[in-house]
Amino acid sequence: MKIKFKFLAMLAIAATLFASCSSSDSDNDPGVGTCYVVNYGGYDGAKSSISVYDKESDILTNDHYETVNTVSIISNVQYAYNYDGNVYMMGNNADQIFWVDSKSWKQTANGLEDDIIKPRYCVADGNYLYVSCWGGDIWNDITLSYIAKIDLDTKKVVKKIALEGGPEGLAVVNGKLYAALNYKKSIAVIDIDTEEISYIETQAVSSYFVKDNKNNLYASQVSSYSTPSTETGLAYINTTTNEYELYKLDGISTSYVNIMSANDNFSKLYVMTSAYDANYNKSGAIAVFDTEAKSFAAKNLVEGVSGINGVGFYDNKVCVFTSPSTTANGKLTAYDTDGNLIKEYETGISPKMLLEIK
Amino acid sequence: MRRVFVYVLLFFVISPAYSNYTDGYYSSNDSTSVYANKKKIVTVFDTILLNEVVSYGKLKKYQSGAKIETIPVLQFDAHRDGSLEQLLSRTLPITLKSTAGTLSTIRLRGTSPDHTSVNFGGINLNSLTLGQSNMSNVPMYLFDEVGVQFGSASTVNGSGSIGGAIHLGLKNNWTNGVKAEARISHGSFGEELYGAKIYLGNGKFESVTRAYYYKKDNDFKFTNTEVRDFENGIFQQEDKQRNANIENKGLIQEFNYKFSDQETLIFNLWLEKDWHLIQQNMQTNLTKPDFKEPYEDKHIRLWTSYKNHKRAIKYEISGGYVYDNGIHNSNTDDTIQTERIIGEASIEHELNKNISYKIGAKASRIYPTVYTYSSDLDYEDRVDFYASYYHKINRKLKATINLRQGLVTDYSVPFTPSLGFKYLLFSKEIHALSINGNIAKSYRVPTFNDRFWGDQGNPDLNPEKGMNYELGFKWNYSDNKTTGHLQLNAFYLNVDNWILWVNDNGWYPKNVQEVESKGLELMTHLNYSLLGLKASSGLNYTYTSTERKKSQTNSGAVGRQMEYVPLHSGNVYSTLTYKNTNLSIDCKYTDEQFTNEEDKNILSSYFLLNFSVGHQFKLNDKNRIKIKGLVNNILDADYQSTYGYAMPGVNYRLSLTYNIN
Repeated sequence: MKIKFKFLAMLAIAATLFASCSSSDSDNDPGVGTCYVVNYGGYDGAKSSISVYDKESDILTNDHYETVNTVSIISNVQYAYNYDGNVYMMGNNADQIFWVDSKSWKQTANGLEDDIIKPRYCVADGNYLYVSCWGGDIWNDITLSYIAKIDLDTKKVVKKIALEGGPEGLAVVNGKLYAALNYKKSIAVIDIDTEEISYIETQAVSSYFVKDNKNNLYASQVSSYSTPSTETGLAYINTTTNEYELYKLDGISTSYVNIMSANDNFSKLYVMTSAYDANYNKSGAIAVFDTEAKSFAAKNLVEGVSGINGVGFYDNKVCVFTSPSTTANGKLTAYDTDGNLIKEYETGISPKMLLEIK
Repeated sequence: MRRVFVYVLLFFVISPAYSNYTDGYYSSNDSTSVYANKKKIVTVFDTILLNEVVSYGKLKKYQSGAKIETIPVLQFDAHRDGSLEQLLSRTLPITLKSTAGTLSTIRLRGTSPDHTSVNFGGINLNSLTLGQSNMSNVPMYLFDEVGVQFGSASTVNGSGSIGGAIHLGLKNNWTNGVKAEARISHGSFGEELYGAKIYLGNGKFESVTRAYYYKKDNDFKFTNTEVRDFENGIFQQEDKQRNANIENKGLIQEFNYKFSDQETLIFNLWLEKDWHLIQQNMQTNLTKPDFKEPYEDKHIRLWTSYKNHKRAIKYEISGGYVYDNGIHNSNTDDTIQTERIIGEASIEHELNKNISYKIGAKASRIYPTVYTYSSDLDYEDRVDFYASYYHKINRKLKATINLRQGLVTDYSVPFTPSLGFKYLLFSKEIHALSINGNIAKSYRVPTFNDRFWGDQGNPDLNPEKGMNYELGFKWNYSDNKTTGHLQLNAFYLNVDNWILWVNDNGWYPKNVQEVESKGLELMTHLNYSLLGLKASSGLNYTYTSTERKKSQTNSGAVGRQMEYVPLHSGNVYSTLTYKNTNLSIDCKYTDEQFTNEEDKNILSSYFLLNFSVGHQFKLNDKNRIKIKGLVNNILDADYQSTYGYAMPGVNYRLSLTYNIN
């Protein structure tokens, strides 16, 4: 290990020397509109890694963070969020929020660990970052969870807003913070100014939001082990009225990762599902939701995907992540919008989300 | 590091060759004992001379071509204060994936931890829910001997012995009078062991009580390489392991009755309670210094056996009860518990001096109580029928056949035969060379978790199937001054339907891969005299090439060495004894290891050097005191056995043993 560290340290010195010879940070700037893949990594062994996609050369390169920073990530990144020149990463095991420059991916400051327990997801509003935190073993005690409010100047938690029910996905609309609750059949609505909490009752627990171009929300409605439900699918939340409407879909993914992604004009939502086939094998699929017709297409975009782990949309392609295990490289498979396979790329361990930095 | 290892290895190999032999008698622990002082070689074809320990004799008799090793007494004694993990990793060419004393799993011949059974009497200790044993929780203080079968042993042990089997042995001493032992041991990082053994008997009836208490704070220092202080450019620092405490206690009570030399009744009860804080990886140790994750195991293991060998048809009737309970994070609501009732009966018939057979049946009823299992799962029955045939064809050749068919409730188990032979190539006055071979099928029934865990378990999983081929040579040497053996084994092992939990939008067990393991094992042991001192040395080396041949998942590691299986590993040990003082040194080399299917995060190779010295004071005819000091990892090697988990540097242990009678 010492040898390895010395080697990495030498690499770091060498990288610094070379960097100092260059005129700017542009060597590390992959350009506007670059897309990254967040690989969750193994929970016990190798941690998260970042892959970078070069659109020009059509090459996905793994270990981008490690290459830039000369050290590896020491946490499992649950979610990454691009805001105001930084990419904020919600790391659990070890729990921390750390951030890198969104162009260079260089980390220069230490991550935030105080008052952060099992961070899940985040969203920014003005100078504050709101982070959903489980707060501990949420499956044993749903009252542990909270929203951490982080001052982006001081990078410190300035407030912990207690919110029971295991908040996951977050969205900010009209001064309200919407929180998808994964252990309670409701969606929390927090007034950002007063911090008053109201709830929208749902027929299943939720895990993830996608905000459409009219600032309304789609929320996944899933059946979980602790809170089973037959009323699963996509919930549509009109954020003006907070009315709830369910578009049923069996087998919508219970995963905590990016299970939904919209195309650029938000006419289509690609939704990850999984179900047992006739041979008792579980296989994944991507269902397509037409946001105008408010209905799911009769035919899935792709089916029979083994180890499905996330979905993203980039460059007019539907990117499906697959991960066989927490010890093996995963895969990004790009499809066109008709479901035709375009190309496969090897990622790091357990790829789960696509992050486009425009 | 490799060079150091080679030098040390050469020293140990060469030194006996220049030693001056003196008169001395050493008995091999192997059944192929050689009696040099009688100028006569008693080879593999002669009577099994072991004490009634764990019936290695029987194991060997009916598996003539299998490789079954017993750990030499001196080496066993040196590790009495530790766990099975320390004993195996220091004395045999076996790889274990370990943390610092809290969790250790075995990789015998490149197989997975649930491919090696750990046996106490007729009880397979492996967890029925997880399929494996924690080698750190098997205390050597309670046992007299440990035997290891390398390679498939399902025909003898049933499910789960694809890579091999470990047998924990208790000796029947048939004590006449009272004997007692008290032991106290203290070591680095708050390590303490207190043990006692009391033997009572009249030559026919015997009561043996063994008890121990072990604790360790495990607060060792190490270099934490997971530091990420970007503001000060610091990426490693000295750290201390926190919250990896261990507290284990156990008791074995034996009641044995000897009706005659041919008729015995034994009763063994083993109570064990093991508690530890699960060692956290370096990151968590650094970032969550107060984080504690306790795990507690409670076990009741009872095994009783009546043996009658008075007539031509010998028979044995045995029964057992096992209770296993695990509590994670002090959460007693989520019960993880199994109970087993076991019954076994067998008869053995010696048709003549050269031919014998054995047939038997073993039945068990298992009651799982696990919070995620369906309440419909009340119990599962398992019955195994087995038959063994031994034929000494001539003075040089003997062959064995074993057959086993298991039956499991609502589950199909494959038929597992094995065929073995041993042939004496030549036998001279002071040395003998034999060749042995074995072909064996093996299997593993998926664990209860694999089949019944929540809605993820899959009752339709296929059993894992193994095929094992073995060929070995063993050269035994003995003269008036030196005894020893050199053994070279080549093996080929194929495991199909290997079960892994894979991600399919949730975690599910699947028959995923086919794995092929092949390799060479060299084992030597030599008792000799060196400069007037009694010496005992050994060298073990293993080359294990284990590769995935097929995988149903998108694995980039097909055709590559498997994770946590070093291609090369070996150890060397030597003990010098002068009167009542002995001095031992041993070292171990482990090659680099992949830790996942990516080609990074590779564990560096490491070399560990250990030293011990002991002296026995004879107070009078009945009372003895033995003092032993041991220094581990003298070179203070910074190494990892499990990726991301710290291991201790140099550490010591001092023990005091008082024996009465």
